[in-house]
Amino acid sequence: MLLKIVKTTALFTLTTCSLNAGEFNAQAEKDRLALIDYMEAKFEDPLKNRYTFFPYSTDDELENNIEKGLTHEDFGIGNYSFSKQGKFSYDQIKEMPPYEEIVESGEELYNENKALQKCFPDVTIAGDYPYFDEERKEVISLTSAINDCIVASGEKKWNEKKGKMPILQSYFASATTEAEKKVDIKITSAEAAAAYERGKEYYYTQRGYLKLSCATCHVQGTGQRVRNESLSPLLGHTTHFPVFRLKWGKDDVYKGIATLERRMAGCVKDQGQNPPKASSKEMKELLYFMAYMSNGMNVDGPDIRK
Amino acid sequence: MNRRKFLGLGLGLGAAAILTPATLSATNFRETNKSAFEGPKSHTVNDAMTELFGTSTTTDSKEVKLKAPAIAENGAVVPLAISSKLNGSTVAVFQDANPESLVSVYTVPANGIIDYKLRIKMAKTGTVTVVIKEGDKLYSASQLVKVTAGGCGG
Amino acid sequence: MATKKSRIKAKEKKGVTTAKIMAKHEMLSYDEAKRAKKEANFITYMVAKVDGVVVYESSTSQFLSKNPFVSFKFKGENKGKELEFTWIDLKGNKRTDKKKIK
Repeated sequence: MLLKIVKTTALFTLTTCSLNAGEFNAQAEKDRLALIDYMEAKFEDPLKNRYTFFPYSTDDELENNIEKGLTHEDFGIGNYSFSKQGKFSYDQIKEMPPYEEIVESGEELYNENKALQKCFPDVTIAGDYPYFDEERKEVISLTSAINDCIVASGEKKWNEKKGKMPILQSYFASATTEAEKKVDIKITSAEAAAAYERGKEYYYTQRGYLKLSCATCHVQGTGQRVRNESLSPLLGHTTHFPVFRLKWGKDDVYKGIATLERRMAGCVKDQGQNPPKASSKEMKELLYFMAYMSNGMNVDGPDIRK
Repeated sequence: MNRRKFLGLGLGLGAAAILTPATLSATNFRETNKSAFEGPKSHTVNDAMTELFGTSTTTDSKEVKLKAPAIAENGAVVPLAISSKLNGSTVAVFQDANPESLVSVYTVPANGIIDYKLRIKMAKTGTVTVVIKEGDKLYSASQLVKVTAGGCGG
Repeated sequence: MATKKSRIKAKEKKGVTTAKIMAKHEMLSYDEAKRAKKEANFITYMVAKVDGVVVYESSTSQFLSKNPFVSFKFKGENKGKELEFTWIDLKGNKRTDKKKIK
């Protein structure tokens, strides 16, 4: 009799626990699915739905330059998914992208560093970061995880935006892509959910003298133009990092590759705002939110962008 | 047949080999048609074309397929794709955005297929022109490529 | 001058080989060299051969991109053979690399 009560209690607790674990990402899941629905609806037929989604775009733009019928996975290549003009360039350069040798350098970096090999025995982990560390009660980004490892081994920490950091990350990203893994960000506690919410709040907060929030351009503004730029969607934004930008890599290939932190800080600065520091809580939680939005999408890094 | 004609126009195979020991093979247009690449007649597309082919009269042809981005993402790396089913012997690429207009001249070998890709630099917005010489005639196609700078995100 | 290895990819499918090559070179045009206070130097000639037969040949100007990428196709049953790619630059430096056609 006692055994039966214990068994039932154990089963009950187990079920409740797993139910609760599932619940922590409930809001995040709702947000993510809503974003997918929005993007798919927006690009289903831009010309037909112009008054709903593209009130400022010209006829020519909608007819000739924006792709239609896009679905979830398509958005992984950013604005190349719908901007016909950029897609040709992108495809051509992907035939032999400038970052191929950077991936090889990243592999060398890894193979020569015993500490890195110990911290990251499995290199196909680009899709699992950032994650919420339950013990330290904070978000850990791939950049901060690598630096934790480097510092623990006695070296000075690496620059979070350029140099060895993105070179090593290129290797991880490339390995993850080859292993065909997907973005898999987890929210399994109330504190993690809170961190996600704070990242989301940053994303949707209007700032600076232009009163722009990240969402103004990359959710509502997706597909519309800012001068010559076709705005890219939040969906799929983080899947392809580290990113190689033709602009940065013009004179030296190794200067072209950069981390999420550099890209986000750069964008925030371009909007006339003060960006959060690369290893700050704000930045990591922002990345946590953004990465979660791309859950389920293929990891496809590194990749090229303008 | 056509190659011999070119070499006849310029300095000739033997002379080229003696003058520049670094030259390897039969056709190095920089030797035989130097004035197309450098000098006063290399600036405009028509002048350079005349220096290279003897004439700047071409027929616009759908058989010359040139693919280039309408707006280049970065002027330092503009990808071009050229293809044609014509039985061309020489393919030349010009643009009018840089101080000299001739970019590249291909000699199509016997087992060659006219299907080339290359990445070029363009200092500003300009028109890229591809000319294919088939027999005695020149066929061409061109496209405007707008070159912009910038891009947000750091 | 120490030259760097060219990256070569060559694949044959149904009697047509497609080669994609990225040569490593500064490609300093006259203007760029002036600004950088260095001497101008860029690839001026490229040739590719299989079994000694020329399959690609181009004479080029200062306007190819840095670390220039070129791609070309040629006919023939060439799987397993070696593609030999050579470039020469303005100053007379030469670089030859080989890669097996897959």
